[in-house]
Amino acid sequence: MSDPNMKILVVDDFSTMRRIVKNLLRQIGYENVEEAEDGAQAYSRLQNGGFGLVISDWNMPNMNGLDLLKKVRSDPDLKEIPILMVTAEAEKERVIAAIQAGVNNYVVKPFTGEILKEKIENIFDKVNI
Amino acid sequence: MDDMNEIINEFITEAMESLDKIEPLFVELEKKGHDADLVNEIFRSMHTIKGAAGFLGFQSIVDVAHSSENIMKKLRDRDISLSTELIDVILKSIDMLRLLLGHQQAKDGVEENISGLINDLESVLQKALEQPVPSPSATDEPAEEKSVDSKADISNGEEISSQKQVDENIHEKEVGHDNSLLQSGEAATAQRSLADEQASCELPATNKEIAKNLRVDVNRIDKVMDLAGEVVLVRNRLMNISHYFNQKYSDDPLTETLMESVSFLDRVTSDMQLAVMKIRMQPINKILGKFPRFVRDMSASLNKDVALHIKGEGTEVDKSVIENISDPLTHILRNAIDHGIESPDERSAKGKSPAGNILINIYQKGNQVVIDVSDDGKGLDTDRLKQKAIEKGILSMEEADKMTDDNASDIIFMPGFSTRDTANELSGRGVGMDVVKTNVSLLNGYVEVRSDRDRGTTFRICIPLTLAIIQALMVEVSGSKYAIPLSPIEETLQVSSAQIKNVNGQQVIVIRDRVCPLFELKNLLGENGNGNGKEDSEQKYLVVISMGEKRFCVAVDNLLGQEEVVIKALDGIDTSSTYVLGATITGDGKVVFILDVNSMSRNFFEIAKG
Amino acid sequence: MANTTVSLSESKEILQLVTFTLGTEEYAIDILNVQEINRITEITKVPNSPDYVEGVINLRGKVIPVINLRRKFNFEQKVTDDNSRIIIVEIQGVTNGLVVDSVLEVLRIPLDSVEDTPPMSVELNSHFISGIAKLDNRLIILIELDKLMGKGVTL
Repeated sequence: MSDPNMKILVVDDFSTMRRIVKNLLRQIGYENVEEAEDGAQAYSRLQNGGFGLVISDWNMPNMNGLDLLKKVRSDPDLKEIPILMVTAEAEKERVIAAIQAGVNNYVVKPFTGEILKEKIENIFDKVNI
Repeated sequence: MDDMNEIINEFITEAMESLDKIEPLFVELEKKGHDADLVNEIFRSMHTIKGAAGFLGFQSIVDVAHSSENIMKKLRDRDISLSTELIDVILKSIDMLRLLLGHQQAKDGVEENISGLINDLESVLQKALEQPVPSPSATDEPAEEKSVDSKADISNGEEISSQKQVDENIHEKEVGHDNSLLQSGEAATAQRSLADEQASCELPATNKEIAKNLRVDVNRIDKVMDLAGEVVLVRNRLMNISHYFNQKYSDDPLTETLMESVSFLDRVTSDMQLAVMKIRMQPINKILGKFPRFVRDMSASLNKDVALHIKGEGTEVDKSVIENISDPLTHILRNAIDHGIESPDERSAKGKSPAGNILINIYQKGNQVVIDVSDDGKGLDTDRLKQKAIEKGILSMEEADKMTDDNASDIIFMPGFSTRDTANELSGRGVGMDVVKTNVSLLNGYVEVRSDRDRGTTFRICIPLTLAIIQALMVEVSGSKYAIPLSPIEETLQVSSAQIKNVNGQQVIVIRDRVCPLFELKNLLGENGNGNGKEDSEQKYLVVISMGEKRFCVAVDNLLGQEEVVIKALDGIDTSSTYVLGATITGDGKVVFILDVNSMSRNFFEIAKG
Repeated sequence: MANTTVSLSESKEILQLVTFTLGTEEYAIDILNVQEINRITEITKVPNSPDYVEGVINLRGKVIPVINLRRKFNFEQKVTDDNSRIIIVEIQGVTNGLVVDSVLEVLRIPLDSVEDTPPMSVELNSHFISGIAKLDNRLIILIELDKLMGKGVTL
């Protein structure tokens, strides 16, 4: 099981979306949430350490979700951080690219708190094996 | 529940901002042809709006954004090429999104019929897909394309099944990746950031800049402004004291140090006041975004070809100016396209380029922001203006004859004047340029026009950098000081009591053959005025105020001169019947009221009518 | 902000009040409403305003309306002197000054010393009164500022 006090980074360039995800996280018991506006900002926040999970949007300026994923996976200090990608469409090539780049799971917009919970638990079940 | 409302409001604001930002990009895109960064930015916005709207259950917004996004995606992947038709239909969907957001904001429950628009979006896309695309490499096998285009519910079905697969894949896959993937990923990142840099050179408000900004409650800024004002007062007192010491103890070496320190404090305080004022300022480009499209749509409907150029969009003005300058500017642009720029044929015949140009140039000049709107059209026909004005009874023959060309240009600002006999749909509505003048004067600014026959017309709007500070005429009435905003003041006069006439109980004075009602400020301000009422003196000072067509004078005891004053709100006092719009604090710490000539004018002329 | 009666009863049996005088009578307001107490400074009269609006003052760069409580309560007028004070209060986010004859003290009194029924002498203004505190041989009239100047109450 995942730790409810785990620090989660929500990455999205649209502040309403960050707020929605934060709200859903609160609904399912995760209160310790921080935000970043794009991949670049997320990456610099992650370097400060302490994050247990990243929930990132795909389409963002400066550094998109896939590039953030790749960058995190290539960083020896950060590569273990689980990443959940949020996407609005399931284009096969994108999903494949994300899997190849080491995404832990992904969720399609719009989703409910329940789905989000399932996805997160799914990640931690796997990570803890 | 409240939380949900907050999220919805935030979504509406953010989505509106997003639409405002992408709208001008279309015009840029149309100019440049295909541009990957522009297409991507528009795609991203549509995509994001769709995503968030999905969470909030705003299905119509999801549907419109989805169909527009589809087109942008095809453009991005170069499956289709750009056309005016595509841009038109996406602009229409931006309008629809605004409308839908508006309904959500108003919570009016109004449903818009979006099926026509969705059909348009889909059929335009279909048509575009049938057109050959310049680069053949982008065309995939048709079967693949169809599955992406098909209805949303089908692709959702696909998503679910493919997602299951992914979950399984993740099981097998180790968290990690091979080197080749990493390298290509980094190369892509480098390329992207290069592209972003280029984009940020062209677009003034990129997300990078926004990230540096801070949202602060205006009240907090105003608080700092009040404190800065207080420091100014202390400085003034210190300056007085230091002058006293300088005279009395000029031999003391410390006196010089004191003088130096105080003059340093003087400079720093002025800088600080300015810096605080600047916090309230925002770049004017916030309101310019809608103009490229406005010009495009309007010139197309008049079969004219007009290019809009904007200079100085980064110029900063006070928040309140941003909120109020948009309408006057729209009106001037409308006028320029409708009356200024000629048709392509007419232009060619004159040896001009068939396409007309309008330049909006914004710059700071001293304490003012200047906005010039220039066109290279036919210019104002002053003879025709005069003739029209005479026909409409706004001007007498003699007055018209005396007018210089510059003066005659100002006729267009006269109330009830419009050069077209039949107001057309776009520029007409019976609204004349006098509205521009009134709106600008509400911002304590002024507007003027210069014109050269067949070379063009320039409208110049000058507004003070901030509305928190205005130029005011300080006057004295019954021993107290009052401030009158300078912008509506036409002139000041000194007259003798004998020149004041009484017509039906109303005092009037004749100024250059025009009868002007006169009011004693002393009486207007009631018995509650400060100090003792002076005996009526033989000489009176008159302040002539003009608000649009309304013109009146107020009589005061003395004119004290012009001052720059900081407007302070009067919280806790009902000013609706006091003729006071605010107060200011003078250098010596005294409170002085700023008079509301607007409500005076309203009251006087209502009484006169009734 | 809750009205004064509620906040009084919530303050755990003890009331903290600022007391002041108007004529011979002693009044009090909740200390939570009081921002500061100033000597009389220059007051600028507001044109066309009701007579109990004494005017406005410059309070550190803010323009604050000042109410003449004697006029508001229909008492006889008195010229301000060295004892006169302006009590700066905040009611529902709006800052106001109150001109009073003098400020006495900050008082802590038990809640049970407050009686609801106003005596006849102040019936004219009973609308603004939330209670009477009896203390030894003193009678202190508690003023409810929300009713005196709150939102919806036009100055």
